[in-house]
Amino acid sequence: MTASRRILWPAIFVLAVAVDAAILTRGGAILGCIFGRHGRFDSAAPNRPAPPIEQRVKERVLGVAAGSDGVLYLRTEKALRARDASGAERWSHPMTDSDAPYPVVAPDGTVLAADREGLTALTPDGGVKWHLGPGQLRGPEGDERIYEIAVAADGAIYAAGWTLRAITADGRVAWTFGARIGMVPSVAVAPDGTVFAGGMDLHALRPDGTVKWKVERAWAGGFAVAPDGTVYWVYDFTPDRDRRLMAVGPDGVKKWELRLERAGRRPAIGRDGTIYVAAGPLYAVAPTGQVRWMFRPTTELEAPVVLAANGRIYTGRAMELFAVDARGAPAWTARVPADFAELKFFLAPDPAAPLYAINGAALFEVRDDPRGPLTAPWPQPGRDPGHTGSAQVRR
Amino acid sequence: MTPSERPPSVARGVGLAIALYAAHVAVVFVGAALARAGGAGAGLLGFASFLYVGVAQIVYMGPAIAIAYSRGRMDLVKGLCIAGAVVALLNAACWGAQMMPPR
Repeated sequence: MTASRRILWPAIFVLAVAVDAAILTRGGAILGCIFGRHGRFDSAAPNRPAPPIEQRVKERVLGVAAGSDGVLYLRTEKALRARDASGAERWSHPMTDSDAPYPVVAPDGTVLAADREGLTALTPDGGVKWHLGPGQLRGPEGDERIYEIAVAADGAIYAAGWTLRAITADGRVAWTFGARIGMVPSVAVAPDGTVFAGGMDLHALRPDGTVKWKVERAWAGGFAVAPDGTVYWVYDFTPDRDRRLMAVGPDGVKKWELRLERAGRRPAIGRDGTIYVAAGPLYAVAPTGQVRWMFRPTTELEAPVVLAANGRIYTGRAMELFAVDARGAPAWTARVPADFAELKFFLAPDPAAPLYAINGAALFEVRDDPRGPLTAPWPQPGRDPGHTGSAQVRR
Repeated sequence: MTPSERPPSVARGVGLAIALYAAHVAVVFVGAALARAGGAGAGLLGFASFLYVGVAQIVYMGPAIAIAYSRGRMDLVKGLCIAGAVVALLNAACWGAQMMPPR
C-alpha cells in the first residue's frame, strides 16, 4: 500500500471533524455564505453575569452626546444638562419637549439642541451663542420642527425636519430643501461632504443644496455611512410590514437590500465594514449583503446597535439589555425598569466611562468596561460621541 | 469462527467505532449520575461531549486509529475513519440544520 493511500482515510476523518468544528463555531456565517441565507446563533444561556447597573438620572432622558473633553450633555424633557465625568452638573439650559432627541456637539465644541421653540447653539460653558426661532426655521413645507441634526467638518449644520435646513456655524440659514422630505426626516453627511436627506425619497445633496441624485420611495432614515460613501438605512414601510436593510453606493445606485424580520433602527458599521442592525434578531451583514451571523434571543431586538472598544455589541429592547461578542455569541443580558420608550445606548469617548443606557424612564450606567466606542466607521447612532452624524468629522 | 468466516476488517473497524460510541454514551450516563450526586460539572461535561460528539470523539477515536495504524491494520483504520467521518458530518448537519432558520 502506498503512503498516500495509508493516510487517505485518516485525512478524511480529520477533514470531517474539522468541518464539524467549523460548523459548531462559525455555522451561521458559513451557512449564510454557502446558501445566501441567514445563519443563526440561538440564544444559548449568556456565559457571564450582567455587570452592575446603576440608575443615575431619574428624569426622562431623550438623548445623550459628549464633547471631546468628556463632558456629557443630557437632553431631558425639560432641559439640556451638562455633566462632568464625576456626574456633577456643570450647567443646565431650560428647553421644551423635542422631536430631536439627541443634542449635537460640533467639532468646535458648540452644543446644538432643538425644541419646540427652535434651534439653540450653546457654548461649552452654557452660554447662548445663537438661537433660531420657529419663524426662521419654517421652510417650504410650512413646518418648523427639527427631528435630527448633523454637523459637517466645516461647521455647516444640517437640521432635518419636513424641511432640511443648512445653517452656517454662526447661525444663519444658508438654504432650505423641502422636496418630499417628510415622514421620516433624517440627515447624515458622507466623507465627501454629500448630505443625505432621508424621508419618503432619499436625496443626496451637495453642500450648496443642489441635488446629486435621489432614490425614490426609499423610506430612508437613521443612516450609517461607510468610508467609501455607501449609505445604509432600514427601509421601513409600515403598512406592508416591509422592512429591509438598504445599501446605496456613493453614485446613488442600489448595491443590495436585505429583508429584515422586524422594524429596526439605525445600523452600525464595524471595523471590517460589517453592518449591524437589530430588527428582530441582531444581524451582522457583510458589506456585500450576505448575513454573517444572527443573534436571535427570545426577545425581538430593536434598539440601535452600539459597538464598544471592548469588542462587545450592545442592543436590546425597552427594558432588556443584551451584550453579545463579535461572533454573535451572548455575553450577558440584564433587565432595567422601563416605560416602554425606545431603548438607546451611548458610548462616551472617555475609556473609563460606563456604557449608558436610556429607555425613557431613566439613564442607566452599565459597568461593563466598554472602553469607549470601537474605532470603526460608524460605531453608534450619530457616529461619534458628539452625535454629529458626519463621516467627515474626526473623532 | 474460522478466519474466512470473520467479517472483513473494514466492517470490524466500523463495529469497533460503534462500540466506542456506546461506551461514550455510557460515560454520559455516568456523568449524569455524578451530576445527581452533586458533581454538576461532570454531568455538564458529559452532556456537552454528547452534543458535540463529532469533535469529542477525537478523545477515543484518535488513539484507536493511531493504534490500528501503528499495527498496520489499515482495513481497521479505514472502518474507524469511515464511522468517525460519518458521525462528524451528521453532527455538523444537525447543528447546521439548527442554525438555518426557515425560509
